[in-house]
Amino acid sequence: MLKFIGKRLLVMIPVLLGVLIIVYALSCFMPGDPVINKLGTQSYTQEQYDAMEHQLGLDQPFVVRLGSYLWGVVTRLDLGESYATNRPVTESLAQRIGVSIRLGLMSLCLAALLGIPVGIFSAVKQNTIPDYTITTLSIILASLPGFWLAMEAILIFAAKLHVLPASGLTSWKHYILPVACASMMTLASLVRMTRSSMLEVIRQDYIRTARSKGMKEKRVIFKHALKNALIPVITVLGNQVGMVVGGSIIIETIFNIPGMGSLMLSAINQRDYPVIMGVTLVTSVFVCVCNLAVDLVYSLVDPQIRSQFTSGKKRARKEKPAREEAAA
Amino acid sequence: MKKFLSLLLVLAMCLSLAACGSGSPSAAPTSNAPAEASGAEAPADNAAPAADAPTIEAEEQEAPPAEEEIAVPTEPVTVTIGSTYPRFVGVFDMAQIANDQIALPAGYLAFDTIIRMEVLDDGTEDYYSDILEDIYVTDDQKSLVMVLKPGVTFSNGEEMDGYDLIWSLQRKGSHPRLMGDYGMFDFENATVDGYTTTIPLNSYRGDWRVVIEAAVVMNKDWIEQNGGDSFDYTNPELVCGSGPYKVTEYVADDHVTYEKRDDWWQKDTASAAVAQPQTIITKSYADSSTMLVDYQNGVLDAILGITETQYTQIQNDPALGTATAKSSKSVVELIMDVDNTPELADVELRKAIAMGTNIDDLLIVGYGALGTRPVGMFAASSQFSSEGYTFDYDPEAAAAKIKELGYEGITLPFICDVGNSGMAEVWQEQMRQIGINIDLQVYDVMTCIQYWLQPGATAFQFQGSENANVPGDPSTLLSNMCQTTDLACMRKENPEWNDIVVRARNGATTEERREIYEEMQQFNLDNAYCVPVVEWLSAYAYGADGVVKDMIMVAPESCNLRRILVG
Repeated sequence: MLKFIGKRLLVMIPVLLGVLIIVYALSCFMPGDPVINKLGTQSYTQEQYDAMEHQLGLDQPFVVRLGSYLWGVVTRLDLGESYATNRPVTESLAQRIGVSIRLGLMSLCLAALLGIPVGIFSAVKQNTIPDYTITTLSIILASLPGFWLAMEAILIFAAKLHVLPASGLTSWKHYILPVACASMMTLASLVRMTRSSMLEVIRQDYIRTARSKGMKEKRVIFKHALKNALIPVITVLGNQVGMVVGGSIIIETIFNIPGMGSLMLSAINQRDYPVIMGVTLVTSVFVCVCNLAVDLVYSLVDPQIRSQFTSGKKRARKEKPAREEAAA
Repeated sequence: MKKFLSLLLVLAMCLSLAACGSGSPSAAPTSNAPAEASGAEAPADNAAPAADAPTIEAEEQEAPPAEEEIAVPTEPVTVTIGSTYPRFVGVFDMAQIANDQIALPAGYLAFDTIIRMEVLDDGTEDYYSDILEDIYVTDDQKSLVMVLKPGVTFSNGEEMDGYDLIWSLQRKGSHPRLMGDYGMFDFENATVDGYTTTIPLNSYRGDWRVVIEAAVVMNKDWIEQNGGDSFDYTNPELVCGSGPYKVTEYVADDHVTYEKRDDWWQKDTASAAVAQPQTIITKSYADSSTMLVDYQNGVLDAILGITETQYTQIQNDPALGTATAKSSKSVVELIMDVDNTPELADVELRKAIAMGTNIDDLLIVGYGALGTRPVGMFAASSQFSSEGYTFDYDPEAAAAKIKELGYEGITLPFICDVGNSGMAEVWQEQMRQIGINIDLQVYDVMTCIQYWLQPGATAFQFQGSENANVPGDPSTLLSNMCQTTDLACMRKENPEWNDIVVRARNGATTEERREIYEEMQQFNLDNAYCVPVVEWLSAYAYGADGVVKDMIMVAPESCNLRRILVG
């Protein structure tokens, strides 16, 4: 297991480097000039432009800039300074990452707590009215644009009924609308994923065998079917957990939440390369870590996968008595 | 396994819920909560009218209105102001604030400006200064003289002196985002004699007040003691101005909290209408709909930068308080790139395009109730504005002319920013009807600028021509529609036009400039360099929850947040 984790951590290094290089290149070559953004569109002299370009380090060749950035990240965890505010990027990230994680985790938990049971229920009651209703609702939910849902929620609960606040995150009430809206898309996909996965599993021979042995339906579903059906669901959830760090641009913008999503949006608008890179790096690290965690969770859910983590010698030791017994 | 997963989910949920309870960086005090600042006192003794205060150039200017009848609140009041202007909150860099009409209102709570625009009691606008007894250019037009009021102190207790004025002007002048012509000042030979500061002038400009307007005065010694060039302008603890408020909390891109200074140097002499709220919170919004809902729900006491629909909605519903629209003092012009687009070198084609532009439709699409028909290149409020300098709309004649000239069916590129895309689409259709195809591409402003810098990338551009200063000089137009601008699409090479621009910039007297601006507008009418499209207004609202009674503003972007009347 440790060897597996070690290997995966080593693989993360080239993955992160690749992500950084690609994003850095894309940001640098996209239209827009941070120097002009700093200077404004009023008249400025070439000297002023050159001075600002030098100050931002943009007068260096692309490779030199990239190398210097990567060196700073690797050796000092230095993500640079924002072009727009002159503040260290790490400070801006530290200020916002907690907000996005809180919001993202809560919406994921809500989606998982509702989506998995509803998906199981829908699969068990396949081709019944509740199943059709759930399937239709989940398709509708998945089709609704997030911004529309958020604006409607504000209109109904904040503007008309005055029961919930429309912006900020200062009390538990403030979390209800953004968490509910952010979870809807994941909820819909979890319902559909769990349903289809469960349907696939409950048609397997071993489920039929379990039923023919007279096992109770609840036990068949939760003890035998769910374990195997959860693997694709865990994959979806794992990816979502990684993405929560990046924040939701739409939800954070509409609910006026100063999180990673809104930071990324303003950084893109201002061509603030260090901030764009910082958000991307942090998100990538979390996605990689979450993928690793998902792989580890697989081993807890599925014994077949667990056995792959065990080293050859250990596996041989474990399998020896069985083989001897079989031979006897 | 089931138990494990359930436990995992419950644990994650509990952690998230627990995290909710912890202090959030975005935690803004709710509106109207009693201020916690100790020693908070109502400005009950602030009744001395500002009219009694010394004035600047008394023959030209008056102090802000006397507010003797104004009821002063006895309890500390918190006012929360929302805005959709992106830089409304959070930059305390004097050079940036001074050049940013959006950041200035917030900055003006904590800092004083050398001079600024103010609404006077007769409703007119003029320049005014809190910190100066007098400011003038000597009769020989060789020196600018500023006389400080005695006892002007910064929030750290240090007295403001002439060196702070010189340093602040100099720093603004050396900032790359410079808007004024600071080359006119000979800072090297500036002198300070007691309260009098004299700066020799290298040259004289008739609109010198425009050049130094809104220059924010900062504490030179304080900046130098705390890092100089590396001074942290985002650290609320380091904000040190001479204004009535101190920054107590700053959350980037979210909100700034200002608390009234108990030791404000002007508190015994300021008008009762000044600095009434104990706490002012300026809050930034990315989405105006969310801001409006917060305003309706009483989270915000006033909102700036509302949309046309919201403006109409508030106007039609008395329960939503007062919605006011002020002229931006800016006319949006459709500027033609006459030097880099070969077809547009033909003056007759340009005139046909101008004739085929229905500005009434454009202003409805672009601004609706927050737009008015321009009378010429300058805002109607400018003293240089005169009627009759717009193009008559005649699509049939325009189409016939284009056909006659042989331009029917030509395609011209138009790179437009998102903010003006509605108008651009309507105009594209207007042009199609007279026989010209417009290849319209819409991008965000940063991308557009890249194209606008390239000669020939776009044949047209919508550009605001700001006159937001007391004389009404078109500063943006003079900076951009000339030979020296960097934006290729606006650059004009014609020597006659450039001569007019240079003369307008350097025009010494108001009368001289009036004549030059008339000449400029006539030139435009004859040559169709740009089509004045709309004079737009910006709107704000207050008073839905009864806390804010009045807001006296020059314009929402350059509002005076010191003069919020509460009750």
